[in-house]
Amino acid sequence: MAEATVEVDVDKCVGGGQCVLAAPDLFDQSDDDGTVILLRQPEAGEVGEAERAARLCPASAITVHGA
Amino acid sequence: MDRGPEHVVVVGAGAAGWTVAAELRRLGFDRRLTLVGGERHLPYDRPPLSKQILAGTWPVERVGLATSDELAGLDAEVRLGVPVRSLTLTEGAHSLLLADGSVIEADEVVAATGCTPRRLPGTAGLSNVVTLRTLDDAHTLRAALKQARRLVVVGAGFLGLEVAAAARAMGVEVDVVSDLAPMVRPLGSALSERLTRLHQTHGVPLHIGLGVTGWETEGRKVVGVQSGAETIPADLVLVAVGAVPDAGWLQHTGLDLSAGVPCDAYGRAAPGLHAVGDVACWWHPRYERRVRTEHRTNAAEQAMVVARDLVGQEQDPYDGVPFWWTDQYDAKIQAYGLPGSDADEQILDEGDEGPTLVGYGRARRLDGVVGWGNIRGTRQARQLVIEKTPFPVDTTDLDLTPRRPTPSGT
Repeated sequence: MAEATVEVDVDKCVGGGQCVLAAPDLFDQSDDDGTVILLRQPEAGEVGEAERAARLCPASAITVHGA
Repeated sequence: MDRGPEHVVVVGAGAAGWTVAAELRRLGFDRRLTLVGGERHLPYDRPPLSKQILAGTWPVERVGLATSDELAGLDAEVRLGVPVRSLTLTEGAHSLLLADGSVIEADEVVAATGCTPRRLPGTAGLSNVVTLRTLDDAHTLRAALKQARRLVVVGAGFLGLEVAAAARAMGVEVDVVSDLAPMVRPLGSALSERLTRLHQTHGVPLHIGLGVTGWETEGRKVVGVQSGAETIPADLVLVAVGAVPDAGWLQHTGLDLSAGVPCDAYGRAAPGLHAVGDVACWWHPRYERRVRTEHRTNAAEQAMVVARDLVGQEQDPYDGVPFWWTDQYDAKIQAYGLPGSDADEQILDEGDEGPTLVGYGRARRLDGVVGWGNIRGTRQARQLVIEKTPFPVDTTDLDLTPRRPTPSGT
């Protein structure tokens, strides 16, 4: 299985920060408008956290590929 | 998997229903799964309907929650465009009757049917009075707005005000008629007043206090909305006065459905029946009462809890902090917890145009917070809500953006 990669769609993001609450090591929010910042790609043990963030995102702005 | 249901039927294919189904498969549930949806569309997200879809700034594909390939990959029996009629609970094998007359038997049913817009008396058969809930509704409303010159929005909640803002952007004249001030129930008075000013600034008169008292009609069309002594001319009317849980199909279960489907903190309503999302009224340990919220985040969070419960996974009861947001013109308003006019308000931060951060307290606890474009403050305050901080909040604990002097250049 290929490594999981996370993609964020800043244009969809509503700045709710649910991803930061779910996976603070992977996501942050911009200080200007609160939109998502992808800090880095998940390591093998963090894919579940990334998927959880994707599911919780109220704007469906996070996609996890190859999980 | 040794234990767990033989056949799960998820009734409702919106955000809540889709997430339950997808999460069940992700958790390894490999038995029979059926997803039933009343609309013919693939699962999609509703929040953009009153925003980007109405404004025409997004292609419709952007609201999709699943492509047809992803739906096929679920390895489920998918029945879209078939509303549900009734559920009969029988020990071991529940029986679900669909609108096309077919019957599905299952040992676990998940109610994810959402809500139906509340209608106003006297509007049946009127051709230019619409509601907004579905993708089809959004397309109908957008087409009507392109022809309309004067829209009257009945109701000053999220939906009505978002549509008012979108319609103004399309160049339509808009009036709002409501018995209550703009979003006063979820926001309380300080931010409701700021919202009133925002809409007035954008040329939207707000007729507050009486609501609709009558309709002036010509044939099957409304030409004027009466509110007390006033008659407001209209060629299109949106009724956005809230929604009622779509739970009528559960009437034979014996549950009290007056406030949605009553559930425990895992979404269990009865043996073999869970409920999730807008239709569900869950016991909330944080607030020590049942809470029903019609918000997108809640739908996904509850769906994940229900999926885990269905496969018998140990977990803590759902204790999530509700989150919702609304976009109106260039204003971005975000709420965490349970803000509301029944709570005490504390203005935590403000700018030139009014409050930018308001806390809401009940029984000396910070139960909710609302930020208006105040990203830095909102992030800190939401953490205080999560931590159940005492109310009123000691604002010296908050590191807020200092008031900037008016910029002289760009």
